Amino acid sequence: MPVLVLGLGNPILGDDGVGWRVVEEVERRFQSSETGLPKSVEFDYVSLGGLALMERLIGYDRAILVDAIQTPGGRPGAVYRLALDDLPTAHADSAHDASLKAALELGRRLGAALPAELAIVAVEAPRVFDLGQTLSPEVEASVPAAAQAVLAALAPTLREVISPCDQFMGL
Amino acid sequence: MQRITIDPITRLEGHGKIEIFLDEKGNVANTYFQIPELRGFERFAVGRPIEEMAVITNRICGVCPEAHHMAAAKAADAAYHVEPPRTGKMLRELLYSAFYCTDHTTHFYALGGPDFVMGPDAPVAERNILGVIHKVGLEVGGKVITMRKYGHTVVEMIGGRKVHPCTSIPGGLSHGITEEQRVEIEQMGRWAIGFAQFSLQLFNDVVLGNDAYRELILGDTYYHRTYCIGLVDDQNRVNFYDGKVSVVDPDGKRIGKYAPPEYSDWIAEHVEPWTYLKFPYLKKVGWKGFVDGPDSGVYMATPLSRLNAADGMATPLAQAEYEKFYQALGGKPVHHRLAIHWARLIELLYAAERWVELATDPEITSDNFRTLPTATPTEGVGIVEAPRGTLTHHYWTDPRGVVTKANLVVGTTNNYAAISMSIAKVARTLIKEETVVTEGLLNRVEMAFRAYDPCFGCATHSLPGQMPLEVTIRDARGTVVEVVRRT
Repeated sequence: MPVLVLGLGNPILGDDGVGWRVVEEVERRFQSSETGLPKSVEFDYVSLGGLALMERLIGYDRAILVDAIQTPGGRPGAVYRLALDDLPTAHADSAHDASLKAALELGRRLGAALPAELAIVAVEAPRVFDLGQTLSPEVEASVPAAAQAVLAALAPTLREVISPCDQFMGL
Repeated sequence: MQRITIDPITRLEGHGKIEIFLDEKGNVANTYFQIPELRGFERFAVGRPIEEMAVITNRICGVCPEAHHMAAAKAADAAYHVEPPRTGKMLRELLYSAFYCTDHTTHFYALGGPDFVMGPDAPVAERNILGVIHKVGLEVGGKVITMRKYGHTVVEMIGGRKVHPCTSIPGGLSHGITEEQRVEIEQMGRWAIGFAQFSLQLFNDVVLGNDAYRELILGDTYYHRTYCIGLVDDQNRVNFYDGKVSVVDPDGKRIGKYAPPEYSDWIAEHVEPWTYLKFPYLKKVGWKGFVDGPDSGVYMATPLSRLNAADGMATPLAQAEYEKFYQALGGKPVHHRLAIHWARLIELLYAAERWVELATDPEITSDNFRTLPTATPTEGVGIVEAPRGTLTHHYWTDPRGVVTKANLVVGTTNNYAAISMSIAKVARTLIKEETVVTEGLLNRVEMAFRAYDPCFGCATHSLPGQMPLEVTIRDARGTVVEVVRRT
């Protein structure tokens, strides 16, 4: 499978669930389009980090991780497009076992088929300590923009399988 | 007064923060380990069917969802006044044993082990699982990944999903296993026994064979004489899934055992003004502050405390290691906190042996895996041993089984007072007048809480573990005079 789009986070912990919401939105847009879900893209929703996240990424050429993030002074709802070397999100940087970087390095040394390219779309999430299944208004409002960022990250893949890509999802 | 802060710098800023206050002479005056509490659990639970709690609460924590699944399922059994049949209990315990193997393996090789294999003064860039495989060999990494894969496979077979099981329902499980699955599970379990033995041998060679590490473990720096608790079976042997909670005093004398519904007779919670998280303590002894000894109700709930609170292990290989452990460390009980790492590996071996025991039981493939509940639900408490401490779920329901009130005492929270004491003691021992704050010194402070395998995922989403850290030293006015940062 060429591409994995992975919503990370906790769907019952307020804004921590934004990664899931964004990927649901991307999946919904595909489903409501004429082309439907592309066969070369898989969507999933997990609450994983570190080694477990690395293990989930095995077998894909590319992966797009969508997660909540908190940066000093960050504007709630701000959408970031990051690479692995940029500031890690909570789930990209597991506290219990290994960081995702270390886990990926371990996997590669062991010969695991890990994505050659990893993109991260993150949303600034102010409220991650309150149990609940709703997002803050600012974070909820940013879901379409974050979904668009995921679609933009997917564009190279989609161009390979859907032509012309520009007619798809407004890209 | 100077102030040293050990503080993650990513999104976890302020989530798991150690603050060390120095006096005018540069010695440690006070330490505070702060963790914010996850808010709104009861509000979230109220109004939902109790049978949903086993599926919902395993989302609370990304580290030990299986533990929450089991504790909530057992609470639902109790609320519905129903006892799962033997096969149902065994299947749950089989899943749980496989989970334990995964979890303890991950902690030893990715978190606790690197401190010893690489050494506490090794650069942080090397003090991780990559450093371990560089030093011990790439094949170790392969074994760790295989162990995790096998654990996940069993959880998925019995629990319906990897990581977040969903099949435990009031009275048992929603499905059983086939003979074909049983054979596969048994094979993986036998491999896990060999892996656990390999891990104990590695610990013996690398840690116990090193005089400096032995001194670190057996020295006074990481030593506290507290009470210990742990779940035991009817023969007072360690059990992760079922039984009563045994409580022993600092001399190792059992002062009693409590069944799940009796937990509130034994455990109370102390509040401090500087943290939202409460400090559980033994009610019968009382809260006397952050001190150890027989008059203080502070207790420990870890692999080490489980060994101390039990009379032995229920499987032969683990029992032999149990005896070797106490013989090597001067008898029972053991209070050296870094010995928790060794105890964890003995539990790993027990979990693997129990995995095979259960997988080879003639009734494990029986179709009798659930007792249908018929009574009106009322109230139920479920207790299991999470890898990082005793986990208690308590729910009250209306006659329809809808939750009206809920309470959790999560694994790590049990150890909050003990962890705070350990951090303070290490800081006081190592940070002296004019001490230069180095990464190695800070790591020794971190080692104090890392031994407990703390997971504040129940309270926050992550915790200080492999997180980047920042140390800020402030003068009496709060002005930053030095920043030591590692990423």
